[in-house]
Amino acid sequence: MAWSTVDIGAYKAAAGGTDVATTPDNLVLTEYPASIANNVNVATSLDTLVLTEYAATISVGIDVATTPDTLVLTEYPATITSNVEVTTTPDTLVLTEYAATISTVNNVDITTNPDTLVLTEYPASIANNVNVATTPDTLVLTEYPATIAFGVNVATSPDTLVLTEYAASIANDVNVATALDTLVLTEYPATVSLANDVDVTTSPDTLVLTEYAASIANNVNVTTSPDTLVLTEYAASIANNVSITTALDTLVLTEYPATIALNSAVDTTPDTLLLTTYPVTFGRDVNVLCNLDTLILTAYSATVNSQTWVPVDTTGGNSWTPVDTTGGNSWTPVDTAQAATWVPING
Amino acid sequence: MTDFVQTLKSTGGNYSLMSTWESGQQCDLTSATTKVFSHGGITGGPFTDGETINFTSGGSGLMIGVATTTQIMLESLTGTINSSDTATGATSGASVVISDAGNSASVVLECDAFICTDTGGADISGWTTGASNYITIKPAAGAEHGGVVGAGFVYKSTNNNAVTLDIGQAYTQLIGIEVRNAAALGAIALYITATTSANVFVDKCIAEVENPNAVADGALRVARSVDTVIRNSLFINKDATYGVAAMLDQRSAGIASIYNSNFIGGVQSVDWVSAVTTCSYPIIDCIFVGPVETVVTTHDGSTGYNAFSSTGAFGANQKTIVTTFGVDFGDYANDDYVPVAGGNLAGFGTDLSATFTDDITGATR
Repeated sequence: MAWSTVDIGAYKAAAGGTDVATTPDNLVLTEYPASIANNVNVATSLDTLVLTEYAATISVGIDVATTPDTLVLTEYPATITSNVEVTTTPDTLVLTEYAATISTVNNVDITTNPDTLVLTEYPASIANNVNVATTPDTLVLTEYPATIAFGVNVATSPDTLVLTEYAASIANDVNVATALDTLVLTEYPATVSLANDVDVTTSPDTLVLTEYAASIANNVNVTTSPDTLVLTEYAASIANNVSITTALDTLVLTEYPATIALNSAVDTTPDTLLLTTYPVTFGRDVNVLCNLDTLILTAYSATVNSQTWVPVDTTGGNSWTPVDTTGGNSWTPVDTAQAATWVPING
Repeated sequence: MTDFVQTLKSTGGNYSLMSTWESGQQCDLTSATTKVFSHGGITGGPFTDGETINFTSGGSGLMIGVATTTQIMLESLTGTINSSDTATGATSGASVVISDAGNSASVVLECDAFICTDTGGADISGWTTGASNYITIKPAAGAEHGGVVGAGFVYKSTNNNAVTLDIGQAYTQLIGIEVRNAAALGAIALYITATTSANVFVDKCIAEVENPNAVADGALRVARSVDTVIRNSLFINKDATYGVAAMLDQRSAGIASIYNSNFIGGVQSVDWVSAVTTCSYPIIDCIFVGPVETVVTTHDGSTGYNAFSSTGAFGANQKTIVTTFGVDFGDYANDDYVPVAGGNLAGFGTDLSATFTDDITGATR
């Protein structure tokens, strides 16, 4: 009797023509040109569709539409063509390669709760008029030049906006403006622009600038209670006329030359000002004014300007405590054995 | 001719190492004074290898290897032997009551499904065999690997630079076993060194080298082994430096045929042994992953229907294969070489059903 199939090699070939159409379905296409042709449905509960190679496409008229849906496109040019909807709760759409796009013209909506949209490669973009607009929204842009185009709103509570690469920017008229806002800028020259009237104005606000040349421009306010402002790299500065003005403020400057500029005020109760690296300087007219202030200068050559005391003999310790918060000669050296070596500059 | 069947098991078999079986059982199978007898059970004992066995009718012979619960095999037989004699060991005192007058023998080693680590490997040679008196090494019923690497009987050696299984004996059949060279400085897994009238038969076997130490250390190497047949087998050497699946002697009066076998090489699928530019035997329905050395320019006229992943393709009706997951193989990286439905391998060979009808798993093709 002749062979039923004349297969090459040691093994008879696997049988073909198998349908995958039950619950739970798990369809994984790992090689190009993997495709799901028209009119092929993967449509049951706990559907999982994973396309891992390029030229993977979901053709027109194919729906992936159950709960929960997971659609992962990992290679370029991955596209979601016209009229394909991913529309259940919770939706997860992950685009990991460049040229990954959510087209504006196709009316693709990601509109449920909670939405998660992750764009990991450039030029990842959210085109005009695409909405990511539910509660809670999470928008993560991990590559440059990641942008949020004009007219795109991330506007619910709580919002989380994370920009992790340089040239990350918040364009004009983009608002991040609800309670429990978190704005994290991790690369230079990350900026909160002055001219754009960007406000970070809710309670509690957390503003973290982690790279040099990080700055808070003039007239940008960080003004709620409790505020936490952390500047972790050198050249970190608080510009003139920047106010940090609530109770339980904490200002931490961790790199030199950390400076508090002229006319900057840090003035609530109780304030904690930590300067950890030399040469830390206070400009003139910088106020650290409230009850139970703690001023710690941890490095040599730290100086306190007018109306304060400075150590002359740096071998004798460099800490002191305030007795009278009005300043002047009410400061007492911690190491009394070295008292003679401390002198007021302007007693 | 009657098969003298012994078992190879990790425990509880007639033998636990193939090398011990080979040295204990080695004999002249073709001699008229070598015979296998059936019996109803051993009293006393055990028998001692090589001891004199005396029959109640006056005949005698020498015990070969280990007696089984149903058979004994003797050589140097002489004198009168009747089919109901009691055969008693002169040294051990063990005895059996035989139920026949003895028959010409072939030997069969039935292997259990386990990894038999025989550090120095085995050399099947020094016997006298023939077309009617041959050696068979195969899995016991139910211990077949089913085409899955490591799933059945695995004969493994670990000594550096030592061949795992050397078939120097003509008329030896290897059916459905796996041979693995696992030495840190690996050598050839299956080496067929029998030459004149070799008639070695390799079917549904898997041979692999884990850590080859030289280009010559293929999973398979075949000398000019006359009338040797290889089919439905898998030869794997994926090493990135010395990954040669097989070294085949292409010269005339050598191998008879190679059908439906996979040569999986990390560097090269086949390295021809000689500089002779003609390969005189048919190679049909085979798969070659990695280049084939291009020494041979002229192949047997029936060679064809082979698939190649790289350079050195030969013969008619060639196929180019892709080893990426799921394209032509089920999962190449994990030793799943089953052709996928609709791929380059499925349905594109030629029908050899006149010669055999199964595949490496034992399934009907």
